[in-house]
Amino acid sequence: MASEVKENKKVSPYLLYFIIYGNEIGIGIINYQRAITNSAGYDAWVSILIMGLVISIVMWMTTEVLKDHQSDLITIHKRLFGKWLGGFLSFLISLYFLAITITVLNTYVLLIQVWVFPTISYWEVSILLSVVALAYINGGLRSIASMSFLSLIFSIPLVLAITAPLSHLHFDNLLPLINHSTASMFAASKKLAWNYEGISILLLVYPFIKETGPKDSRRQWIFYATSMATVGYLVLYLITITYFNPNEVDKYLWPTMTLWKIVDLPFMQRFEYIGITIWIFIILPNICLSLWGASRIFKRLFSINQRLVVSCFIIFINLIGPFFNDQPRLTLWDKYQSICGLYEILAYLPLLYLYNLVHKKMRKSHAKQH
Amino acid sequence: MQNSIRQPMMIIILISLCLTGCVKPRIIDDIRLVQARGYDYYQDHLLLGTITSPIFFQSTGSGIVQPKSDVMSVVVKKATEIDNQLESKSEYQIEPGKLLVSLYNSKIAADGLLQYVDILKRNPNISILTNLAVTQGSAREILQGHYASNSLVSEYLSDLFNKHANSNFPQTNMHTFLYQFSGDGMDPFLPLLKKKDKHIQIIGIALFKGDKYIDYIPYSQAFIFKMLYQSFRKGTYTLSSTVSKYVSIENISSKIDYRVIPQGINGHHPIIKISIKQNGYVKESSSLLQGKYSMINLQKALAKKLQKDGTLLVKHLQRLQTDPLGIGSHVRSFQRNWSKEAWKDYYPDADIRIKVKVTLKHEGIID
Repeated sequence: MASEVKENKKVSPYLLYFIIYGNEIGIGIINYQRAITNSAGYDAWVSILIMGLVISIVMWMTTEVLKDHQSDLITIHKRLFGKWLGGFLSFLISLYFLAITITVLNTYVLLIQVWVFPTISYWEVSILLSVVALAYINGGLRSIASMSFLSLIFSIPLVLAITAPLSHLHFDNLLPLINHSTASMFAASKKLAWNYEGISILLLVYPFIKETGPKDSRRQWIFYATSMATVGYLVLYLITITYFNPNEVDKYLWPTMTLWKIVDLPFMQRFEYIGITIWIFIILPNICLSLWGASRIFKRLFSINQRLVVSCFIIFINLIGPFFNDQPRLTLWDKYQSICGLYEILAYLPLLYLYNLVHKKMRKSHAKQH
Repeated sequence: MQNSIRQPMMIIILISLCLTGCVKPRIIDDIRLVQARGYDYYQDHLLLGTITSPIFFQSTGSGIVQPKSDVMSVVVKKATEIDNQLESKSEYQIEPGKLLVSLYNSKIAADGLLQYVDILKRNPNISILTNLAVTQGSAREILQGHYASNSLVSEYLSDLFNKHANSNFPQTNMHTFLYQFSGDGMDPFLPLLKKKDKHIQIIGIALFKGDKYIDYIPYSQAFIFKMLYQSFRKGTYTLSSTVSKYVSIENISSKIDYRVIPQGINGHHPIIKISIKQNGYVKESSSLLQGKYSMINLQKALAKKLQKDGTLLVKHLQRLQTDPLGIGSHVRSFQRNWSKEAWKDYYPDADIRIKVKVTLKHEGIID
């Protein structure tokens, strides 16, 4: 069968942790505080916990589906919805991954233009990043997974930088606890979906993960990754909301960057320059995995060489990207993209799980009759 | 297959190396780093903007050559025009990235600082920890002066602020200003400066209502203010009963605890209880610490004095209807249905009770 993955292309289960974590902590962490504080004020940390829980449930559902079929998204779609509808859905998911790539890349380029080099052109950054991404994707999932691992290691200085404001926090800001309506907290949770939208890559990565031993450890690593990402979002949010005034967070377009501004090293006046540079390693897994996912679907659907597809996608992104290279357009793009992400994660994946359940029952009863 | 991919890849990577160096380099000798800014009114509605930037000379022979401070000023109509106009005077590119201090004349501050601070906070190159201060008298004169301790006025000022943040004066910078300005139930405060011969002196705490400067607390009250504002270490306070008899106290720690009874006693207005625990030792004394001046009595006298001064200060702030201590914000954190307007009406008559406890650890190395 075409979906079988060769043993030498598979990766160890623990790498799944880095893949999922790398995709959950992405470009969104730079300004998610703003959106959620807008909805739920200083109580938005509850929304982060809610979203972490929801994502864990969705991940559990997704692994259930994957376990049943022991295959990837394209095969599942084909089995559940038939060749044409299934193929069309896979095609849509592929476009969705492509859109994620554009979001991540464009946000990063704009970040560089605003903070470091105001005169730099879109291509100068995007082509460099595309070439690096291409090199990793050509190495297959194994090299992407290793890079996700490195991404976590390289991001340690950023975590340390976040400790700079710790002595200036006003914990009063969090009181009185839970003083906002439940509706506004759920509204804030919805805005967090954008941060987690990379998780659907699991549907494609799953067959690449080795099964070691009698106990399937894959689910466990996914759970660890999601919990750690949620804790990361939570801690950073608490620091932001207690360092800045809750009314003030809304005014900063990139609160995380502004937090880095207060790091004062004797040899370095502006830490955010280092921060943005290291940021490359945080967004690279995002870009690589989404591009890999998009091209993988194309490869399986149309039986084209994956490298060719990736190259075409990269050219396509570099052509379409500059069009969204200013704040108002990117905001508009993000808005629609986050709606897509929200429905993909909170509606499509659970529906897939439910449909799979029904389908399984029907197959069983069908088999019994004969 | 592998080779056919590798070759174009190599070419792309080699070409992308050419992308480096596209951004204009900025060499330190060819730019002017603005380290301090000053704003004054000029005549009636014109603005006098001043900047200082250090000029470094090459050392000719032995010894270190002190950098010289270059002061430039322009008269403009709007604050945003200042940098534009200054460009026409300077032979080098003006870079705001290393701004340390921004000074505002008290008249400008009285008309609202926000429009000036907004220029600073919008620029990603400017540190959020930039020191802001209000000046009594011309900001330009302060920046133009020659001072004994440091030839660069910007560094002198920034060191002055940093030192004070660790002693009697609460920490202030652009972040605290914006924090207090945008926060509910609090008002900003900044240091108030004045030029005195060869030195610059912090003469008090400039109080704001919103972003408008209204009044100031003299420096002698700064210890009381800081004590009511935050927990801190290392301040000095002098208790004098008569002119000749005084005791100076160095504080080891001051801990503040806010308690709010949200509904109060009659069920309407909150009661705010501020309890402060001072921990210190005797640093200087003009008399023997015996009898009337024994440590035990001294502790009581100090507590009484601090409590009285604190109450007076809070009363004064209430009369001015400004809340730099953030009392409203403390009440907000205790009250679920806190409203900004209701608090504003209530604040001038708010029931605020201060209690101070002083512990003196030792009296130095002599009796």
